[in-house]
Amino acid sequence: MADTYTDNVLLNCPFDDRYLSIRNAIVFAVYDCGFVPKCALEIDNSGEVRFDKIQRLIDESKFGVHDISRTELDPDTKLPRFNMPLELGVFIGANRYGDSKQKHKNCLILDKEQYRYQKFISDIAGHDVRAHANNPEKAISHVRNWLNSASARRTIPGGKEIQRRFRLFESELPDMCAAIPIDLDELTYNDYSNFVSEWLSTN
Amino acid sequence: MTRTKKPGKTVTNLARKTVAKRLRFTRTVKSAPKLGTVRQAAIKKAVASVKCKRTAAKR
Repeated sequence: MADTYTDNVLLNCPFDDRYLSIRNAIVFAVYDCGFVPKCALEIDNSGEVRFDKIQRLIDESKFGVHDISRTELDPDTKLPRFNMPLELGVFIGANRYGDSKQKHKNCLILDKEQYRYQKFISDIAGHDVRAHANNPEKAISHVRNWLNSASARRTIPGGKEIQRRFRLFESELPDMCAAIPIDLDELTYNDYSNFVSEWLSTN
Repeated sequence: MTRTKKPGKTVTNLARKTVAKRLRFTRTVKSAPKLGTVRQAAIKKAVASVKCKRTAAKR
């Protein structure tokens, strides 16, 4: 099997419905830039321990998008959710202590506000944290600009062009789902990824 | 600009370089994780039919 390490972009982001529009926008932008998003949701194997799965994906991905915007108190437990910062730590650790291949890792850290992270994870000060303000199109621009400079590929389209294609894709998605037929809210991560990849290849 | 053959370079090498240069500007969309064959074909068909509808509406 061909080594896809330099094409893989780990998606370390929330899985809740409130975040779905931003996650979809990031998945779309990654495919449109010519890379492959890797997310724990793509592996449907209850036999594999979740954290092992995530560590394997980190190992297989040169790039990583880490969204820490949902590090907030759970309304029931009043405790913060720390899965995303934990996985970001593993990614930075792999970069620091891994073999020569892992040392070339590169990541983008996203939050909803520019300096919010300083209040709960101040040790990452010095890393460039970008704010998407819960806006999918802003997230697209950040991902595109980062991949453009981190990979130095000359085939990456402009941010506005990706945003335009994303809007067109989202407007056509209900019709594509109806043709299968499947309800929009039934789409799994893998279904959505296949729609994006196929749509970008034919348009 | 006229391209001239440099000494020691064959025409085939020149042609190969031109193709390589062109490829550098072509983005390749990577495949998503594989689904079942039937589901994959259904998605392909759905994407193609919506594209046809859009093209027809433009005419």
